[in-house]
Amino acid sequence: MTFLPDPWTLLLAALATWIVSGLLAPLETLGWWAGWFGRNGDDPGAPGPLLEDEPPEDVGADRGDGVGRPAHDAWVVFLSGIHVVEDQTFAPLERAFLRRLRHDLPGTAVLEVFPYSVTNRALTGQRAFAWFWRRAVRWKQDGRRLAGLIGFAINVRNGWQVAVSADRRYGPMYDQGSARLIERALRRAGFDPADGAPVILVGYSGGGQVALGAAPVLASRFGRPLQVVSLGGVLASPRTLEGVERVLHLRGRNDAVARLSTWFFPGRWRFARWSTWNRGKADGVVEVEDLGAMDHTGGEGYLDPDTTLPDGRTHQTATAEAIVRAVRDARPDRDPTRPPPGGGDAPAPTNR
Amino acid sequence: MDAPAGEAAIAGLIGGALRLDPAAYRLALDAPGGLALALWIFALAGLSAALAQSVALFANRVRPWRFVASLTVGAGLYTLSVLVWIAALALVTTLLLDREVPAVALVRLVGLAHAPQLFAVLGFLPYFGAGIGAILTIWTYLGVAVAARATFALDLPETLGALAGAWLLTLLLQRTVGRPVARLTRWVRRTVAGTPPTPARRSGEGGP
Repeated sequence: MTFLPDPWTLLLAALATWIVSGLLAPLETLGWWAGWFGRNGDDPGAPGPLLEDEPPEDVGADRGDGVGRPAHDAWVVFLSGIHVVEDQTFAPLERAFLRRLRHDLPGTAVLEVFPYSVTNRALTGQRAFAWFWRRAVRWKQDGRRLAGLIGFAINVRNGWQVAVSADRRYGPMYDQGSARLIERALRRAGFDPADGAPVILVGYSGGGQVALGAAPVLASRFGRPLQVVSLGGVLASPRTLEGVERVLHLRGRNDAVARLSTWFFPGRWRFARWSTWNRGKADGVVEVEDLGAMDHTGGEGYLDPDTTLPDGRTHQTATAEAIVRAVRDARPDRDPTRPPPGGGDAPAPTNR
Repeated sequence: MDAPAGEAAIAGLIGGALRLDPAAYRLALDAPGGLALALWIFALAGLSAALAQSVALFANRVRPWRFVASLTVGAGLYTLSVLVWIAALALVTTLLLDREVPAVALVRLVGLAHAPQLFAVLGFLPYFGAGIGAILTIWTYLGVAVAARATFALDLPETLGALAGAWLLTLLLQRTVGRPVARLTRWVRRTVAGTPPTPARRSGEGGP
């Protein structure tokens, strides 16, 4: 006889698991803040000591000439979607996309940061359940049976971290932590806030929320504004846009995830005129750009190198071009005859 | 105090209270261990609420042992504050509605009506937790109203009048003779946590 729990039992078990994982989700951030674990110490805002034995990051071509010219003309920090388990994404489409970005942006550093752990611990790293996540990733990569369920478990875990970032109680602490990680990655790659090269945080899916939260903290720490590019971002209305020069929200018409996620964030609703998001749109700081008929992920997603738009460009190309434009617009040496961000030959931002 | 009832009976009572079943409240009035059950519910609901609001403790970087001690103290203070609210409810019911309501019976009923507050810890959930406290409070008030109608035959206006009167009375007490008590409570919290806690509205006290 085969043991098969009835659907209601399964549903109840799934709901209970979801709630328990949600209740545990803020503990990493809160425990880190309180100094219970992680390397917070007395000043959670301060970046941790940089490890000299850490391998240098492969961030793209370096154009530094050693005579005062900045090593990179811009710094792009890519924060992956909620499917990621460590700082370097294992998703083939994302790997290919990041190679493409590095190729299209010579002289610009493109870094990756795992955005779902303020203690900088990959799910497969030094954690109580690291064995589970390592096995899960192998399972998923091998495409074995129930691989979709494994992916779902990773999404649930990281999705709750996005909720922590969006929470008005926990968010400020989470933002401090993620900003610290981003700063650490930047400095490890040779970033100097004084050299004037712009920093652009590119957040894909849930990474968009983390980028939006960390940007004001980083701007305050670097003493200059930052830019944020959200690729199908799952975004709450930010608590502040202080120090954020531009938020470019790239959105596909078939991206149900980005569209439906706004239901959960009242500050993103159109009639919430007082929200930071809508005030940012009114001020021109927040721009929404329609990328065409793209889905959130997978085939026909933003990073798909095969599916083409009506103009003949692949989804990957169109997405990469939008980000490259944003980076070039942010660079101090950009062509002054070029129109300001959001204008010109770029598809017109819709501000919707 | 009488011995707690059996596990099945306890589950039945709590399940009935969560379903707002009047029969559960009628049973609780005479059930063996009903008073103990009420006090357990207060204590566990207090612990649950303290956990939900523990972000202030983390924000102030209290040490783990102080964190546990603060939760315990929070649960105790929650129980005391609900008992004060029950006393106010008994007073209002006696004076305004001219009904003789035994205090012990009221503790049993209000205790059971606090069953939804056992889930107060869900307020700890990121983002979605913020609104859960309000839902649980409404659920609890509904439980008290159902209990009042089922056991003391109060009609709806009388029930609402009693709840509003008890709320006003506790508010009056907080603003007058309750001030030194509030100062003492704050001092206890600060001392146990070892740091001045972030000011936060404690919705779990002074009623459901």
